[in-house]
Amino acid sequence: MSSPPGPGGISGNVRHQSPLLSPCSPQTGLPIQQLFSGTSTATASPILSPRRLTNTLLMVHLPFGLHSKVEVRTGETARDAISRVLRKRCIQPSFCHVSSSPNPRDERLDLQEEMESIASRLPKKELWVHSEYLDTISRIEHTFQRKTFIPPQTCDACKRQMWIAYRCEYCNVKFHQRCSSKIPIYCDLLQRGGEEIFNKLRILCTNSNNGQLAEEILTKFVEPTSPSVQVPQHSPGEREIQRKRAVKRTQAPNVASIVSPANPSLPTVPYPRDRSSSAPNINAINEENASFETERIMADLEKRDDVKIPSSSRIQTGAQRRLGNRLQAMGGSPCSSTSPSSTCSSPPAHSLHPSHLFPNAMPLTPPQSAPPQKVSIHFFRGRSKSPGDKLDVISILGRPKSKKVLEEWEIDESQVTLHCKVGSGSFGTVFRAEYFGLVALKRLNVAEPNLSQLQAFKNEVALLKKTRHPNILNFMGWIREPQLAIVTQWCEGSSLYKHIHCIEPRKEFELQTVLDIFKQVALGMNFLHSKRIIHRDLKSNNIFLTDDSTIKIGDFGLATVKTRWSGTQQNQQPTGSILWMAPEVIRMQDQNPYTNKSDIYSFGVVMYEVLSGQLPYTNINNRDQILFMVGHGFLRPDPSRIRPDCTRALRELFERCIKLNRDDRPEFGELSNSLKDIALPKLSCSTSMPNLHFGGGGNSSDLSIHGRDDYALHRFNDTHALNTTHIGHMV
Amino acid sequence: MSSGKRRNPLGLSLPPTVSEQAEREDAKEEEDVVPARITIDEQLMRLGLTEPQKQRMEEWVAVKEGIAESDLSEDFFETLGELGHGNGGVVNKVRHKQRGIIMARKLVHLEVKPSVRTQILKELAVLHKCNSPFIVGFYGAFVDNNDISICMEYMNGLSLDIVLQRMGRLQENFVGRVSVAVVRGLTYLKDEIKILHRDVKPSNMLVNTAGEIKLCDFGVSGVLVDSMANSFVGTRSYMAPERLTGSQYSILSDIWSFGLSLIELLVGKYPVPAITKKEFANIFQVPEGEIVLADERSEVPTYQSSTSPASMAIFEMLDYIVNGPAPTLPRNIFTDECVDFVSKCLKKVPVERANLKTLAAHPFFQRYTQFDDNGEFAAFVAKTVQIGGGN
Repeated sequence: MSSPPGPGGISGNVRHQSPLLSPCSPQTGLPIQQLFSGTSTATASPILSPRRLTNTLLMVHLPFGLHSKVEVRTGETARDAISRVLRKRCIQPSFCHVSSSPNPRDERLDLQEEMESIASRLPKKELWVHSEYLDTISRIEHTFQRKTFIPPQTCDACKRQMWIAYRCEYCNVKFHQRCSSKIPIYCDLLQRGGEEIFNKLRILCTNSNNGQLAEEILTKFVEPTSPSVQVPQHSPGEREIQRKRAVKRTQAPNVASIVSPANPSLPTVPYPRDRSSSAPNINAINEENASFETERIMADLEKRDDVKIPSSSRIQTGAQRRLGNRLQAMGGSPCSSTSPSSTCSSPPAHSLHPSHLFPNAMPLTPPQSAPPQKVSIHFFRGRSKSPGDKLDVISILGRPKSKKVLEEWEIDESQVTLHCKVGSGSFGTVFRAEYFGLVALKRLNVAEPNLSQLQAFKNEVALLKKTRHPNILNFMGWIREPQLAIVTQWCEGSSLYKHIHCIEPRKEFELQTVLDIFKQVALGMNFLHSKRIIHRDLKSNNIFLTDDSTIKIGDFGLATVKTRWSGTQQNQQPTGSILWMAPEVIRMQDQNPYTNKSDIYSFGVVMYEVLSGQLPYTNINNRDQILFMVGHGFLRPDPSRIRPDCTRALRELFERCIKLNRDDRPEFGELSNSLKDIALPKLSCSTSMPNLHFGGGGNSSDLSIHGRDDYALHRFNDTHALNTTHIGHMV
Repeated sequence: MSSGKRRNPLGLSLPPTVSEQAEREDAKEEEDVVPARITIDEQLMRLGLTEPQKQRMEEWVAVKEGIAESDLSEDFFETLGELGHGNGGVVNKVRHKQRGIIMARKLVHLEVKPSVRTQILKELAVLHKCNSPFIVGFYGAFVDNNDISICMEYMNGLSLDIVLQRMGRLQENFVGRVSVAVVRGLTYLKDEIKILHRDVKPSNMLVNTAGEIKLCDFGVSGVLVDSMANSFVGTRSYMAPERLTGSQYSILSDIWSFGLSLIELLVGKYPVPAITKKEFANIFQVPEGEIVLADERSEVPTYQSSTSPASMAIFEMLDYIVNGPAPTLPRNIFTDECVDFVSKCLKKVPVERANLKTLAAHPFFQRYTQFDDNGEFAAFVAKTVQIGGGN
């Protein structure tokens, strides 16, 4: 994280590390206003008299998803302690208020109180620093996702074809990585919700004595004819320099680009540093641009507005300094102000980039491919018509707008009715629930996810919502509180596991049905792999057999959830059900043993279950022994237990899937093809003409048992059968 | 409580070899309380218990008899808090609403055939026969919504792994007491119930503020043990090498697990991979040069984990148990008797390992059998409970 700025002002280095706050001027010794007023850095000399209370640390949740442990020192006030933490991160304390709950509307703490007495009151030793201002500002950033476009699309910046590129989740702008400097700086969402953000900013300003000035600026900004709306022109050289800097910065801890997941009003920003992301964080790129352009425009405005530059910041040079003042005036703290002057404060100025406030200033037109439903009347959250879109839901229900703001695909727990527990797995407990229809709700076994975990989780959720396939259990949304949970489509029917191992008396599958199940699983898995989602926990419990014999694979992806969360560090322990775990996953000797091939192994074990009617290694009742022996390759599912009517080709396929060396295992694509080629002795003709009793209901259950290649074909057969029936009737 | 470390604190995991005869007999005794009573008295006599122990057992039997099988169902319980959870399921502290008895209730979620579940319940009934001051008492078991609930005596000092978490490590004399209780508990299971424990580890040793130490989670129900093999990966293993490699095993495998647990209790650290001289020196605050390892070992090789230095993946741990050196203690920090006692438990080759009889004859064991610590251990447990804020 950023190093504390020295008393002499901020160094370029520090600015570099916290781009969002780059134009700030965090100086120690600045008069701190409003709630933090009265602080004197001179008296706060905790380093000199640190009578340490052993092990008393307070967790402080900061804006932008930051958090910090603050040592409780005797005699230090909360104001001093928290200001110190904030300033270290270039966040202006005057924009913030502190409460003892994650809800920003909860009672604020009296910051004159000593940390010691606050700490003694808090059972969980946690504090939250809230800032409505910063929250508002940070919502207008893009949320980039790395994406492979098939078929290729054109870059919004250079208009050339691209395959692998980036796209903003919200405004849909898409571009080559190399074109990142040419795309709109902020999410064009603002074009739609602009008015609201102005209002919000206005409200934020009202308490500030500079509110009038702020309003003036705002008004200026909305006028499209304002001279400052011109698209900033940079020489190519300039661009190049900026881009380089930005790229470099993405490697440095980029504190500002992580938006607080702890605060429900903040949007998703992908890719925190520490986990589960394959795409680099490119937010920093536009931040860099943003600050530059902001600077330019603000300098322009400066000429016409009479703004006093406080002496404390005079020593600092350049437009950025002035900019800081200006924006501070604009975005004055929502807190009631007691301080008469808004001296140097440091909001994340570039976030308020003027071009943002002028929709017309967008250098590029919004992508044409943006689906129409993306244009929503709802501010910020109207980005998708997902079931998790609470604002939509609320308006439907006609309830008063809740203060709670939900993120994309987030579902409000109160709208879900739990019915009964249907199972529990390694990562959570599954309930049958009602959410505008039947759904499956999985409560995840994670006590208190930390911020980066939550972020990683959201990134994975972002991946899941794009996966739709007839053999995949559709993801519907996620729930944050009271416990992290995911909501998926409900699947009537039972898991393959129940069919094989629980239901009594067991109904033996026809070999044709078996083949059909395998084909569908292989199709679904092949699809997931094509989306680069590794299941990580494929087993018969996660394969559902619907009443019409369609297979649905559930519980895929979510690597974060499937990793043991131990503090902040990810543990190198495999998690999951041991019987389906590939030897290399058990061994955990590679950095990442989870591959397509480890999923194939799990599929091999599922094949074994189906073909033998039992779990593997029933003769061994000690899980550590199973781990040890399978990991070493001493033990594998016993092929001699496979049903005798299994064809040789099918048996060979199974044996290839559970090869010790993962390179010897096939991929799902190949597997699908091989399964198609397996010929079974044909059943008698009469049973394959199932629709004689067809009553117009389109019931396909009879038909589906028979070797269809995939779901589509199944549907085709269905209609085909229907036609035949009609013909039959006509005849 | 944090979940990660408390794998299976009270979790039952139970083995397959159950004397079938005993089981049948027991099923009959179940229906008839009077003959059961007689066997209890006989049992207690045979165990040669001290007066207070006998008294407590009688009190327990009285309480237990107040609870009929029909008294045990979901509706009668009020959950007071979670005692721990792990692979097997959740253990809650519950209150029986009508009788006002506090119990520990373990919920085992099993996806098995209904017939298997019935079989497990039947096998668990053997637990009614377990009346020993070294075995956690059993009120009964029932099935609700596919979960098997096992109702057990509540031990207010919780399990020794939690004690370790709170206190760091245990003094040798306390470990001596634990050794006596565990050896006698295992002997009771072997001789009276004819079963092996199969899952000896600190989290299956429970203590209370009366200073009692009892074993729980042993393998009464073979079917339950079988069903639990289909579970999730753990983080540690107390399994003997021969169990991991699939060789024959016996009570000697329990002895290995017991020895491993003793080192953990004495040192405060799970001893796989082997603890080095340097680590011992750090833990006990003595110069490294003064550390002399038992069994004439000069030094254990520093283990370089292939994944991360902080945590060893479970597979590596298992591999180390099988292929690495056996864990050992430093000599001059503990008494020679203690070190020797532990060494005899931790022989990698089962035939070299001590059996229950040898252990019971060992001077270390003998020292603590009749040893009266004037409630020192009970006070220690009480202190531990206080640190945890009471439970």
